[in-house]
Amino acid sequence: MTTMMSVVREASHAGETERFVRAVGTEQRRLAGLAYVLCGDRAAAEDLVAEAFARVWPKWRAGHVDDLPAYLRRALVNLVQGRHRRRLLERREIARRTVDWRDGQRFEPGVEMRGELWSALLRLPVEQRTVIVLRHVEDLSEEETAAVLNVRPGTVKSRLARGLATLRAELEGER
Amino acid sequence: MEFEDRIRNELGSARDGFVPSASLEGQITRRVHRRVRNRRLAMGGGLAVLIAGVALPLALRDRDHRSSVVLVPPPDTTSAPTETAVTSVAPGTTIAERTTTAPTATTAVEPISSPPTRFIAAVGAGNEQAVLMSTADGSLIKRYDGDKGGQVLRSISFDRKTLYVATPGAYDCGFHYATLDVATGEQTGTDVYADIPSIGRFVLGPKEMAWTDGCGKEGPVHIGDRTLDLGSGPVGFAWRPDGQQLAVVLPTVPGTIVLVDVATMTTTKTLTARDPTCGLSVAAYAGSTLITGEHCPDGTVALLWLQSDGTWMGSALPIAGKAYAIVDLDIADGRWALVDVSMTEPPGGDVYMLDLHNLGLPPRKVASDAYEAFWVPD
Repeated sequence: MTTMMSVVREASHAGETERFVRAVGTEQRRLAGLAYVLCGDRAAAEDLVAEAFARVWPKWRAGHVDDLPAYLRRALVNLVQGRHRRRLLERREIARRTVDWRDGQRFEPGVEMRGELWSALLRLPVEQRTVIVLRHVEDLSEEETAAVLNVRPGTVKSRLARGLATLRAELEGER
Repeated sequence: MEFEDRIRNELGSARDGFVPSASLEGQITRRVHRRVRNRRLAMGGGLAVLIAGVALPLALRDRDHRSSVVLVPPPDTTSAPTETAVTSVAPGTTIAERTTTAPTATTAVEPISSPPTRFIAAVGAGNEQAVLMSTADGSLIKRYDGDKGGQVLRSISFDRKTLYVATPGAYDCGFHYATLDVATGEQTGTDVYADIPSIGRFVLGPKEMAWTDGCGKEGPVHIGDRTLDLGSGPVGFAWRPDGQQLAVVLPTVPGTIVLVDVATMTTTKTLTARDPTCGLSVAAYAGSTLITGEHCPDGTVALLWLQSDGTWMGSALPIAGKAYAIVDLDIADGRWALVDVSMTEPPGGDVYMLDLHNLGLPPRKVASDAYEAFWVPD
C-alpha cells in the first residue's frame, strides 16, 4: 500500500487517497476476474483492470465518484466493450494488409482450457456477453445492469434473451 | 432457471478462481503514475496561467529559491567496481545463467574517453517544476524559464539545440509547446505545433517527428500524415539515427516495444522482456543498437540491448532500493547512458549516468526527483 500512497501523493484529500489505495487492494481481484470472464484473456484482463483504475483515479480525485467499486466496474465494462470494437477494426485492417504487422505480438490469448459454456459465451457479441455476465455472474438487477451499460432496461432484457437463446442453441448443437 | 444456474456456477467459478499475477498492483501503480505524470504536465501549464498574473514567477525564477531540485555530488570514483550480473537470453524466455563478466556494448562507436559534461533535467512537480542544465558534478549551469512560465519539459530536438516546453495553453488538453534555445535559454517559438489538433508525447527524429495524442488518451502513432494504431497509447518513442525505424514503447502488460518500419508504417517486430513477468519501459538507440530498460516485480531494473541475433544482452543496475521502472533513457556517443529510474521510496526519478562499455562501474547518481533527462553537447 505504501507504493500506491507514493504514486498518488498529490491528492489534496488524504482520506480520498487512502480509500482509492484500499480499493486497489480490495477490488483488483474481483475486477480482474470479471474482465477475465468477459474477454477470456488473462493478460488483457489485467491490462484492462490497470487501465480502469488509471481512468477512474482523476474522476475520484475530482470528487465525481460516489460509489467507487461500482464506478470501477462500469469503467472496466466500458473498456472491455471498447477493446472488442477496436479488435474488430484491427482484424479488418490486418486482412487488408499484405504484411502481418502483429507478428510476434501477444494480442491473442494463450492456449487455455475452457468449458464449452464459456467458449460459447466468448463467441457472443460483446453486448450480449456483457449483459449475461452482469446479470447472472455479477448478480445485478436489470436496472443496475442498464445503469452500468448506460442503456434502457428493455435493451438489457432483449440482449439477455437473445444471448441466452444463442448460447442454448450453440450448446445443444454441439451435443 | 437451470441454464442460468449453470452460467452462474461455471462462469462464477472462472471469475472467483482467477488469481491475478503478483505484478498486477505494480501495473496499476505504474499506470496511475503515468496518468498522474501526464496530468502534472497539464497542471504545470495551467498553473503557469495563474502564475503569469501574479508576482509569484519572480520568486520562482529566483535562482536562490529553494525548490525540490536535488543535485547530488558524485561518489568517490576510486571505489572498486561492483560485480555485475549479465545474462544473454532470447526474448520471452526465462532468464538464463548469470555470469559476472561485464559485457561490451555491441555498437561500433568512436572511442572517446569521457562522457558529456552537461545534461538537462526537468525536476519537481506542480509550481516547483524546473528545467535545469547541470554538470555531472552537480553544478547548476542554467535554469530555463520560458517567457510565459513554460518550464514543463517534454522533448528535445534531434540535434539537441532546442527544448520543447509546455506553454500555458497546455491545460486545455491539446498541449501547446514553445521552443527554447538550449544554449541561451531564450524562447524561440510559440505554439509550434498549432496545426496538430491534439499532441502529447512526441519525439523528433532526424527527418520527421513521431507523436501521439495528448491528455493521456490511448492513441495511434502519427508520423507526418501517416498513422499506425498499435492498440494501446504509446508511452515512449526512440528513433533509430537513420530515421527508418521507430521503437514504440507500449504499456500493454507488462510493457513491450514494437519496432515500426517508418517507410511502410508497419510493425516489423515486437519485443518483450526476458522474463514474462517483467516489462520494458523505455527505448533508446546507441548507434543502430536498440537499448531498453527492463523492470521486474521484485523491484529490480536492468539495461538490455538487442543483439544482431535477436536476443537480449543485459545487465541489472546495482541501484539500492526497490524500483518501479526506468522511465527515461538517453545515450550519447553510443556509449554514455543517462538513466532516470523511478523509485518506490522516495518517489520520483533518480538520474544516473553510466558507461555502457564498462558496466562494472557503479552508476553515478547526478540528480533526483526528475521526470525527463537529456544529454546536451558540450
